[in-house]
Amino acid sequence: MATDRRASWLKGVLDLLVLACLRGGESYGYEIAGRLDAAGLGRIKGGTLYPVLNRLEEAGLVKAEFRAAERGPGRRYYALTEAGRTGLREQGEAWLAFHDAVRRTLVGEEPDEQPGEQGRTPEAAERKGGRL
Amino acid sequence: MNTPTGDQNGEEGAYGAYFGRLAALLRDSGMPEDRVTTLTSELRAYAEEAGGDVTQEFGPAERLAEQLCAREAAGPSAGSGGPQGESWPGEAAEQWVWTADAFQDRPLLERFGGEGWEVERLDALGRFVCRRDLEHPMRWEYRRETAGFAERAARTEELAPEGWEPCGVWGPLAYFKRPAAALDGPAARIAAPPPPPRKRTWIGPWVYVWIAVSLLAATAAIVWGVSAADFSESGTVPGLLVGAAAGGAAAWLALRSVLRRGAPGGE
Repeated sequence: MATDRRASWLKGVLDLLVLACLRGGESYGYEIAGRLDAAGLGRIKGGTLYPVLNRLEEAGLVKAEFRAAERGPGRRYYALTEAGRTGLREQGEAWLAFHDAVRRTLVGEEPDEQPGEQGRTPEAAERKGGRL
Repeated sequence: MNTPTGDQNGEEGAYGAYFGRLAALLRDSGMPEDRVTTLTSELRAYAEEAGGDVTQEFGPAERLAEQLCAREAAGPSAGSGGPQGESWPGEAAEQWVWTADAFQDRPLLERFGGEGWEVERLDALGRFVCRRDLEHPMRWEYRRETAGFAERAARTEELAPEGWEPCGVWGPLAYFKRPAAALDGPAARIAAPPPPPRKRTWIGPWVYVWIAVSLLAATAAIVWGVSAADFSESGTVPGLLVGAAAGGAAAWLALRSVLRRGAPGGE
């Protein structure tokens, strides 16, 4: 039950999380999955991750480049586009506002107790220890 | 191979009662009989492979029937995307189970991976339990490694950075999968995948012959050994055990050698 619920939560935000993983520079699928795992979100399997990367690529939010390697078949590297950065900022804010509303409801806070939290940016959240 | 359709609905027990009820509900909702048979037999095969309480696995038959009818309405032949709630992004997926001997499995995995089939696991009978996303099917790649238990974890770790994930183990054979999108990106998507093959078993006739001959030889050896042995001798039983262990080890090494010769790149 708890696993099902976490999977459901993740489903709604995985594309944002993938974009967030690319904020610091280009990366590839295995590394992105590793970062999400290290963040406590569980190991995202390839069958889930790559369709998300494909969608982001087709939407122009990330750009991808295949590079051959000295050993092995090479890798497909992903990097944020300008549209991706904008999308991450805007959708990240929307997610955090939603997250705050859920949190306030769960802990029983009044909506106007922390007005400053509503519009916080991913960068602000990061400074406070948030994920985006 | 996969449980044959329809022929188990009359069985008694919890599975029979649950899937009988499910089939009746699906029929009542107007679902065609052949689709009812296909869905219930596939779900039953899944439940039997998973084991445990079928109601706990799928929920009440009434609720499952409602979900299946809703999915059918959303798209023809949409099966369960995964009763455990694991299978997204596509969610709607079809399942297929097949098997092959160790001399045919790799080309078949390549073929079926190219048709969008993702091996989720190998079941207790060594069958490949596959799913295919109905909305966005994509190509999969497979590789087979021959590795004992101790070597398997290290091999898995070595292959992981290339995108390979373990998808099943059968004896000394470990299978790995990788979405073709790891290298090809959106080009790995399949526009019009072919329907699931009707054939589900690829085992060469010589395999059956080999098994029969082996069993006969083993039986003859045991019968001859027991009749000829003098169990009053103190060395007979230890000698028997040592001989059996040596024979077993030799057979294991021979099997490994044969399989390694057929293993893909790197071995």
